[in-house]
Amino acid sequence: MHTSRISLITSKETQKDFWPFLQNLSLNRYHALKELYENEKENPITEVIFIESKILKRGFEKEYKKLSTAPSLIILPEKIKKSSIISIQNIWTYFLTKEMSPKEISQLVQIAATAARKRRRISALREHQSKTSFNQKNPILQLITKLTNACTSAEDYPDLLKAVLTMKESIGFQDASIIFTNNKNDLTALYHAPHEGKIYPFDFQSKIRPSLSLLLKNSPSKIVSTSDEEAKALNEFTKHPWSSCLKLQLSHSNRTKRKETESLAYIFLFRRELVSFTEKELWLLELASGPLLLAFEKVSMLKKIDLASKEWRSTFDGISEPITVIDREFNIVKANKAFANLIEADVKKIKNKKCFSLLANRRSPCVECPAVKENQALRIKGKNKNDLLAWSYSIKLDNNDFRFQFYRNVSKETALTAALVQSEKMAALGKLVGAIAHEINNPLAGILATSQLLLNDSSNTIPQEISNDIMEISAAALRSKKIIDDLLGFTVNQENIKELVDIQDCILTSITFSRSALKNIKLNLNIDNNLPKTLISSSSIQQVLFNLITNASHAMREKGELTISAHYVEHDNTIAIRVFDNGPGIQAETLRHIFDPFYTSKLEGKGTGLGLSIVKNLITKIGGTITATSTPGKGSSFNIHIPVLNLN
Amino acid sequence: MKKILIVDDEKMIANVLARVLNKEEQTTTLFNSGIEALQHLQELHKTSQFYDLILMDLLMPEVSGADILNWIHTNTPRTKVIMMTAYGDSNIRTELLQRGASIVLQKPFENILDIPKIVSEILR
Repeated sequence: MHTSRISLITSKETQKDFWPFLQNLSLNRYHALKELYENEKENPITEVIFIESKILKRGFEKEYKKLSTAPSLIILPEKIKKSSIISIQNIWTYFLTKEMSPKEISQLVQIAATAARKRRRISALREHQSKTSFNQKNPILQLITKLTNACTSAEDYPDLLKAVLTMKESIGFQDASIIFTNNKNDLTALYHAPHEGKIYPFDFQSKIRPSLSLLLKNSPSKIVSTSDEEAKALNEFTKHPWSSCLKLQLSHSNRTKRKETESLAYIFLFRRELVSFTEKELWLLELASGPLLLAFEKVSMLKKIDLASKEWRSTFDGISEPITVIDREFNIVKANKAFANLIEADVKKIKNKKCFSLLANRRSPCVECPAVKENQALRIKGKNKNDLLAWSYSIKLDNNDFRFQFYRNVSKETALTAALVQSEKMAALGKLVGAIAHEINNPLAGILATSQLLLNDSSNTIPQEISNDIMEISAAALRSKKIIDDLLGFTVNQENIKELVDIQDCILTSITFSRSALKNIKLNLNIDNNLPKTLISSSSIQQVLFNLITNASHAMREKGELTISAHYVEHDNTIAIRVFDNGPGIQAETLRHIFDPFYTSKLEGKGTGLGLSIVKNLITKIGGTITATSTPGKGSSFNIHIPVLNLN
Repeated sequence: MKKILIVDDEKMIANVLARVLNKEEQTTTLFNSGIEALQHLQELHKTSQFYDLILMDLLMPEVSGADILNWIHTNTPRTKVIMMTAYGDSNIRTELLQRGASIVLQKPFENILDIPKIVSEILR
């Protein structure tokens, strides 16, 4: 509780009388108001005065007004003149009676003290206001106001020069320039504001760089007049006559830590008439340097932010994996170019769209979205049938949750995995086929041998009908043998011995083997004479060619024209072999599956559907490639590329 | 008189082979198990007897054709061996030829009637 400052002003006798009432209050005792005034002249502290009415009569008002502040009055009981009461009624007064208890008096003192304090505050405020009232038309104030406004709105380097130009009238100059340097004192930008025209950036050429740099280096204090040497350098870009020039240097040299990356700014004010700048004008410029420096720092900061944001943007866009930033509602806040490419949309049209709609063509978030389920990657089937892997990273900006969504197009990986699985399946199938073939071959050998033996031994003794039946058995067994041979050919390495092989020889041997298939077919050979020899299994190539020739013969129904060509392809060091016929060709759908095992266009029982699959297997094993093209109605072409390998 | 031993756990084949090879100038003995055939060969070996030619399957339970081939290679190298296999691996074929087999026949045979010709060719 605030302790009230109380003064008791009475005669000595009266003090004795009132003592019992006032004993719990801390009092300054005086016998006249004048004493209080003298005592508190410098530092008024009294808030409540207990004053004897007797003393009031003795020139009270005069003394009371001398008190700079107005304490509350409590008047001790005795009759006073009516006129005195009127003269003191504008201050808080209370007439004490002898019937009041000490507690009541104590309360009264508190109220009086509060009132006094309130009055004191009001008067202090008034006094303050009267002291600080100023003239709005003060020219310095106007200058600072204009300059500050210009500095506040400055966003770029030329804006700083605009701010300088607000002082044109006050300081009295016609032209102004601003020059920026980096921490190595290299000129980075120069803007000039001629009196007659607009601000223009100065396209400085190499010849003025050194002279200006020299000029800028030799600046000892913040504001300096120019020397003759400096004038010469400045004339290279001012291009108008001037008589005196002031230079103001804006730097934050006291911030040594940041100096490395800071740039400096120099402001030049040019005066054309032959009058020097006065002390007052220098002072005004000094005054202006504060706001200008702040504006310069702000512009530098904005530039840095702009640069950082550009850097961020280009980094973001430079990342080859698609990335988006989404908010809690799955709206895309930002997306990089890779993402735009992924969904084949304009990067500008992506913003604020739902990620699940753009990516997966969904109306609701993907099930188990990594943005919802932490630490979990999700496989998404994308719009364009891409397989995407998505994962998420949470960030908090200004109390908002955002998520970096990373995507990877794993379509190729998926395809590769599928191919791998397929090849593993084929390997397993191969083993199975091998085992089955072995198990079947044994009894089949018995059936075939027995039926052949029966036909041979007993052709004379058994009836013709039974003989015919046995012949059927024998034929069926032979067909089974052929199927199993094919199956084994598909899975088992027929020949592993590699040797330096002349492909031309291989082709000719294959043709010899296929003589029966080629009986009514016109054969064209177009083989380069000096094909390089290659390290390869000749039987593999022979089997490939034999299969292709037999297939072509079947396709042409054993009638037509078959061409086999072979030549060396230098750029990838391969031998290209082409087998093409003018048969009916292959439908696109069939062509797509032509190398798949068990896929056949022949009638049931006529083929196993393994021939071309074996071909593909063999070519792949020797590191080559095979493709098929066809024009239905005109013919088909099989193109093989085998690598040329030599003993080294 | 040439002595021929036929070993195949596939009875049908063994029988058919015996029938086509049973001629005036040669006798055939038949086994349907590799282990029995080997024991038989070892018994004969004690009295210094041996077969002129053995036709046998490669894959048989317990004692395989390859095992018997090895035994013959070291004990009665004068015995000619025709291996038969229903398994088409060329590496195995090469291996068998290196171990002393005269020929490796792929089962099923294209024509059973070719077998006597092959046998006479080898025995000649």
